[in-house]
Amino acid sequence: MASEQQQTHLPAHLDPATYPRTQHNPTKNIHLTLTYTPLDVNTYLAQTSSPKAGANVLFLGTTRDTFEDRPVSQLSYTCYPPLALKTLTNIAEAAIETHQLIGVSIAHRMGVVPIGEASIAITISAGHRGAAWRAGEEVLEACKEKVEIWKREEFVDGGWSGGLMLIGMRREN
Amino acid sequence: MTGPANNPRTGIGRQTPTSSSSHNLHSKAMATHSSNPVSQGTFTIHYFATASQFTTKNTECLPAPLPLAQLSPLLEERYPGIREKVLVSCGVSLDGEYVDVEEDAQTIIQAGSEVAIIPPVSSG
Repeated sequence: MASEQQQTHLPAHLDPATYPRTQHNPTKNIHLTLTYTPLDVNTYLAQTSSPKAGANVLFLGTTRDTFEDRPVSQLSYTCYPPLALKTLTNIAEAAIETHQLIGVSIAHRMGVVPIGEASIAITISAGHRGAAWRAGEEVLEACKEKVEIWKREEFVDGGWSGGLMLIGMRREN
Repeated sequence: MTGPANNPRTGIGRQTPTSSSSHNLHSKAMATHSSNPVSQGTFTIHYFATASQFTTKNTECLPAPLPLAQLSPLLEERYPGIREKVLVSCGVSLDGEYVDVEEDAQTIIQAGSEVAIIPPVSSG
């Protein structure tokens, strides 16, 4: 059966042992992290900090206990690293160019993220606060729109988000 | 940056249905399908989110070579209904690059290649 097969041959991108997947560009000061372990905020702040930076913005996206008023029991994330890291790079490079940033770090947690813990951490370092604030928001919105990461919310009352309505569906194989 | 990565959801299910002549390909495809992910003459295809739910698989191997234009028909044959329920809102990548099933219809998915079906994303 398919389920047995996928357990036997878990593709690398779903195997936590193949993480963290990181990418660092020292020239542009871009740092990207995909990890199954809790996000380490101090590490990301240190990655972008600089004597030239007068503003350092940290955004943490944390998991909520409700989604559209339904109690959430658990959230988990999966990703496709070959595309996700490319898209993250494009987002970070665009932000640096637009806002003349000193550094950008984007980290996203995979697998189960307990309620209240961070699923995404973005740090932006810039000369001044205006650029850092604006870039932080832009980077987050771009991530939510484009990065090849998928969230799955399981609800206390059963069911989960993002699911297809499969009731009554039949397949032949 | 512009290009497919900024607009990944081109909707691979929107291509026209195949003629019955393509069914021979599909039958053969299914016959040679193997559970061995590294078997020769196959490409790997990864499913995520809704695509994974619909196929009940994270990944599988399909026979190569396969013209990109035949991908959607092949998946529809293996998973009836997937085109309308899932693929219309999905992008597709080949070896780490988004492809457009209409513009790149003549592209051949070669043995050893890696294809991914990319549903709408939901990070953060």
